[in-house]
Amino acid sequence: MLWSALLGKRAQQGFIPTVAAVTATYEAALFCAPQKCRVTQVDFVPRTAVTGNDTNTKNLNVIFKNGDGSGSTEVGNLDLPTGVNLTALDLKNIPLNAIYLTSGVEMEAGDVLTLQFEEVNSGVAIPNLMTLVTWEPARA
Amino acid sequence: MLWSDLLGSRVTTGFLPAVAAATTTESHPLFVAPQKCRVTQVDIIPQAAVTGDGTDRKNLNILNAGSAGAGTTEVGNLDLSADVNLTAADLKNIPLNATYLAPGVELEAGDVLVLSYEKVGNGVDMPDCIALITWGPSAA
Repeated sequence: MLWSALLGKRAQQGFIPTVAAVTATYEAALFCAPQKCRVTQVDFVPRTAVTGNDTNTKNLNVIFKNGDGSGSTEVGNLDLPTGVNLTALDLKNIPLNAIYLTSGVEMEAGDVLTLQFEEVNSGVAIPNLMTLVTWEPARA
Repeated sequence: MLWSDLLGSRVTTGFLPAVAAATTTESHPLFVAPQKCRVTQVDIIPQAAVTGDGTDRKNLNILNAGSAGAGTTEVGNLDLSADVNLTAADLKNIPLNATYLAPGVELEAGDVLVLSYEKVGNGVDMPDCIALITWGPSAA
């Protein structure tokens, strides 16, 4: 059996550098599907804490870019309003949207997910992030 | 059999951004356990050379931050003292502490290891590094 055919979840680590509060809405590459697969979970570990705010914040949106960078479908998001904080060095989940909860986000080899930092008013500074994307092979 | 049950070592890569000599001791996310596992080796590849020094240096300490980001148990370290140098683009091991040499560092899913850059004296500039974390599944 090939490794690529072996069922079960794998996790892919990544890194996204800090985004300043004043940076306008911006996308960073998060994951490139190495084969036909489904992404079932997206998490990250912030280097430092972030305090959520209803007015000046960032929304963290996971965007499906297809295989040519053109896609804009949001497949998951974590808004940082008042009461939703990030703890330094602690794993935080970005929930997938409801329609992806059961089967995950189906991707073809070469499809890309990005993490969009959506600026809301004056924004909030986002520290360096270590990302963790959990995926599993999908049937051909 | 699932991929997560398959015995044997895997290597996860990570990225550690540069840290200035003057930066006070700070920690960066290094590895998130994707499942119950044990980490048996940690290596880095620095982007540039670093010359160790007995007075002004960084100690590279691997800490187990646990499941909430608050843990501080040191599980490995490499002090960049005199004659302990880093060569650009050359793999360098960060030895695990004696307690962890045989079984490795046991982690639960979601536990986080961090790399703490401990400033000693005036410190030393640390370049960008690629990190390689070798781990394997451990019994449930």
